[in-house]
Amino acid sequence: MKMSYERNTKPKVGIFTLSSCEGCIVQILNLEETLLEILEHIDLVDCRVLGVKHVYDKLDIAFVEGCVMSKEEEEEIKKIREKTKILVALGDCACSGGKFMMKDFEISELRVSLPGGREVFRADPIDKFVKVNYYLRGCPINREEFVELVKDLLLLRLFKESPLSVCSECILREQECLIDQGYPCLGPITRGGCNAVCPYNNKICYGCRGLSEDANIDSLINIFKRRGIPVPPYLLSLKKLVISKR
Amino acid sequence: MLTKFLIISKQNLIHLLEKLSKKFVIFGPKKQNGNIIIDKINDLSHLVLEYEGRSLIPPKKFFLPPTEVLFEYEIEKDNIKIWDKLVELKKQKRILIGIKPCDISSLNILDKVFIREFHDPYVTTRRQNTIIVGITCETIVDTCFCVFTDSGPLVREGFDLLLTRIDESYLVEVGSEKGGQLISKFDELFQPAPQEFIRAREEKMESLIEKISSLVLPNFSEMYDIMVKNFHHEIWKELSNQCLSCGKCNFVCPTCYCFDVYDDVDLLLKHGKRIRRWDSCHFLSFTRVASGEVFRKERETRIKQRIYHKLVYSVNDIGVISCVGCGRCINVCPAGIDIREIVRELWRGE
Amino acid sequence: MENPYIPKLAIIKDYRDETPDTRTFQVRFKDLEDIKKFKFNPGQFVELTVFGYGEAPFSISGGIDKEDYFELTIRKMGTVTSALFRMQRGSIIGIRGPLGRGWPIEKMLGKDILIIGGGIGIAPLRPVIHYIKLHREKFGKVILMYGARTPKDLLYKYEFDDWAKFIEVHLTVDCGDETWKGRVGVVTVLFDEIEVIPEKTIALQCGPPIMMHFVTKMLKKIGFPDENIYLSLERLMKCGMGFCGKCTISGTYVCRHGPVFCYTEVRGFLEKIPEAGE
Repeated sequence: MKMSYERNTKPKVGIFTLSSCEGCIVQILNLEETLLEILEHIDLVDCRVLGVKHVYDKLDIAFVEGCVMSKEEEEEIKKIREKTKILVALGDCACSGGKFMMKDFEISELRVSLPGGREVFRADPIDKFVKVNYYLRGCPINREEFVELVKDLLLLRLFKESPLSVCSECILREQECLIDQGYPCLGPITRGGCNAVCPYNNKICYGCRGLSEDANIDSLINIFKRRGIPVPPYLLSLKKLVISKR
Repeated sequence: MLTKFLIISKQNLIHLLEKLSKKFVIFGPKKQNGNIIIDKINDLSHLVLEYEGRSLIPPKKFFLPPTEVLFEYEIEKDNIKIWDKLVELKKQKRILIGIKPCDISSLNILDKVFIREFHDPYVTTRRQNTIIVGITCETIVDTCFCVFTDSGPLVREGFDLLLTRIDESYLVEVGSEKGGQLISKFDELFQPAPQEFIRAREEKMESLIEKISSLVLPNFSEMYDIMVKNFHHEIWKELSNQCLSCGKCNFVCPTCYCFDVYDDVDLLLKHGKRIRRWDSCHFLSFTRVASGEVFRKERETRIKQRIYHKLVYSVNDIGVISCVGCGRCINVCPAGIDIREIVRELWRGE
Repeated sequence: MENPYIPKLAIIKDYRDETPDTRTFQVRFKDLEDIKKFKFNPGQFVELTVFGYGEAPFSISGGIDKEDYFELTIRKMGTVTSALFRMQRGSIIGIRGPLGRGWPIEKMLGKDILIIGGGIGIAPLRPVIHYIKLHREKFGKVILMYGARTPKDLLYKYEFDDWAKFIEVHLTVDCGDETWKGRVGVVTVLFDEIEVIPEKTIALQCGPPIMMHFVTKMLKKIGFPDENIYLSLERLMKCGMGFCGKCTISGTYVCRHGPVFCYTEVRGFLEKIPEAGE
């Protein structure tokens, strides 16, 4: 009798940062002991924040945080894609271009003069340029979920995003509903997995984990209107985005 | 011989619970951020027995927790060791006090699902180890409709003791042998119930029934044929434009019991757990199989799944409807979907 | 009382590849008591655990004539099956079951039998064929119609010659290749090769929903009474005991009431399913 699973040899891993606050990698660093345990099972060959830069041709897994804000970054993400077998978009910037663009400016491009002679301020998700294998959502990412993903990749299990909505996670924590109190919370149409950390702390959900499957944006807009809650501009942008993607 | 009705003063009830808390873990209603939640009561002064309506999350969470480890295992070179979590459950002794008649009715419904051809040993064990001390309502809230689901304001079974406040005392109905045995050791705290107390309870119930009956609704148990006939009614399309598929209604429903099962394992593939977690038939993932196929893709089909389960499928399966008129789903739905309005519209269309 | 959620340990005794992505596993319980207790009806299923990866349902595809093991024919699909395909002979898995309701053997006795399988849908029908072999005198004429995508996708090829000794075997593939001399087309094309008396024949079918859709239609067209048509349905079965609610169709638990259904049960579902041929 044998118990035998074919285990991967240590996969070569790189962690890359595009334009972002680097908050997602901070989440990874915050894993402390668990991170050390993970490092025993992988061969980390590239990570600027940890000061790791080895010579390598190919990667098994590339984690990329941040959004694409320039031509250079567009080239960089394409190069990473060429080198790696699996590409993981880390956090809301990489997954959907960063909600702050839509939230604060309600536009996808802003013409301003920026350092380095740049004139266009933009924030694109990386899947606008390359194929992404896994999305780890949130702003910042949920570090427990990062561990789950790494584990699934190492053990060849299929990583599944949380089936719950933020709204349903919130009610499981027996919280009073923010929409009922007159706030424009996006919990009902946002993909869960964050354990409703914002509503739990009395902050509305901005939808940093992206839309839940079959999200009914129109209905939420109507609900806000009916209840006299100002419809956040980024919700309308989100709707435009969904229509343009169809 | 059991005395069916007794009275206990408010003060003596607290004494009784104090004494019982040495042997039992006590769960009951308390306040949290403006909501009534049912939770472990460490300090009896936090117990809020007289509250409006019902708790946000129903007492099903004490029998079928939101997430539960069924068993754990150790993967060894040539063997697997399994630890059944049931063993620990068997040692628990709990009192669940202060749940309303609608919720007691919901536990009776869950029993029909979980204790039949197969027994769910986790639910069964928790049911056996938990003493139910219910309490009848003082007032109703505007989403209550238990009269139309035959699940309140009074229940006939499913409790060990049932309290009704009469002035500064509680009338105690003994509903089971277990309930009778529990209090038989504390005779000194109880008095026999005078007839006027029993009458006072009747009057209270009549006034509640009168209030709820002001709603214009059919009895939900008689909706079966109408529901079957209206499976393709246009109302379902309209509702699918409103529903957010957030799944809240399932989680607050005292009779929704569907769950997902998955394994968690450590990085070394040594120690694993089999876990079950509440699931919602409103999520696309609910019926998704390994090939990626989803069996209820249209939102409309998922909305119907919940409502038809309550009023039709449940009757086929366990002989009774699975709605107890608690109104929780109406309270929490951001879109304001109201099962009473659905039923009313289809009923009126007849 | 035994906890029905806890799997019994079993060993992958052996396996053979049927097609590039489908494998038949021979499974033997570790404990002798469990071997003795395990009796299944053709059409029933088990829940299989790959420890560390999870649990998934599979219909039993063989072993009715075996003393100490049974067979499962499995296509590589998700996390559990992929992990299972990486396991070697002698590895330990978990089994719960047999679960569900199988084919209506009692009702089939003395009748003619028409067996219709599509792709891997032949798996739960194979124990019926084995059963008929053991009790051939108890059945009338028996016909198998079996279709797959390509000749490579036909399962149990090595048994066809044996089957042909006691039942009629009709095969077809959606697209042939240079070696294929037989029929080309979906399984319903085989209806022109067979002769049945619908009133005294029980039809058993299992395959992709779209196949069952057309087969059911055809059976009804050629005069099969509804109560003579049986189908094995596939849905997401997690607990296998009628609790978790994942596999329900119109409130009917596929795991508990099925997976084998009589057409008279299926036609009444409020939620229309393609398998019902409507």
